[in-house]
Amino acid sequence: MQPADSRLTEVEDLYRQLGGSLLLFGVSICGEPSRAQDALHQVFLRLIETGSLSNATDRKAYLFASVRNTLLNDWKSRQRSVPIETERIWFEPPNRDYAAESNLRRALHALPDDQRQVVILHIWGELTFSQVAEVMSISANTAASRYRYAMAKLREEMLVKENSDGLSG
Amino acid sequence: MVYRDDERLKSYLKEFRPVAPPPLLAKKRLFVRPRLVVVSAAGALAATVVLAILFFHIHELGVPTHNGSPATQQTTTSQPCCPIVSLKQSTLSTPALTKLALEDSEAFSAVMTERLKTQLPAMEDERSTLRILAKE
Repeated sequence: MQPADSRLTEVEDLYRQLGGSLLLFGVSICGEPSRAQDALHQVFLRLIETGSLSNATDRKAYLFASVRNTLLNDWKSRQRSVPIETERIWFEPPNRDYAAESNLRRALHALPDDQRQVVILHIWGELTFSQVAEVMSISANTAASRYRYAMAKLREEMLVKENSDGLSG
Repeated sequence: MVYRDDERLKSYLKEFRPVAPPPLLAKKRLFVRPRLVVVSAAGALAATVVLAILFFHIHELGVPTHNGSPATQQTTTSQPCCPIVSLKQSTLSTPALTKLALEDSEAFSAVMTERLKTQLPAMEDERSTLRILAKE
């Protein structure tokens, strides 16, 4: 059993390191940034209190799975789904290109839920396909194929937008 | 700029950094604070109830003084014509006296006798009202 102080420091480090991608993943599941943030804090506070992270073999996958389970339980208890909130920004764009950020957000929004979650886990969560598979309770092959479909669709969506912007400009 | 190759598209997408959530400890403090607030509020409430009961009791029955008689609020009024005579005003609770009279008439008499001693003008002094009246 770790001392409480070192456990707190470890959890805070993980929060700083993975907080952004975990929040993004949460928003991609429930659609509401505030609810995703609540779920994220719930997971981390539980970790601080119980120290259950020390039992996890793959901490990163464990955290993503915890956020997902928390949100799915919450969703089950509410018995309703909420459309993804697209007003608030999800990313800090390179070179403050907020048009590109909006374009990416719109393209991600257009993806089916499972594909969007796989893309976020693999690209921004930096999880391998086997880790993604563990989080999503699917096989690694399914995770990889969902990723490929998602990337093709993302490219298509983003190109359509870029072309329409180019034509109108 | 959207890349045709998956790896290059991935690198491009990774340039977008997810917005960071607010600090965790601010949230943690919020979780801890309500517990403290609840405990403090419960303590304050308990103290208020105890004080209210004591206050009510004191006003209902009067606080016994060291000589056994109930304490009263006493106000000495200055009398310029008769400075030696002290008239004391009593504020004994009427419901308490009524209750005492109904429950224990002897105790009631004792209290009233004690009260009368303090209510009547003093006679000990040479210039007390009673002595002056008696001389007249």
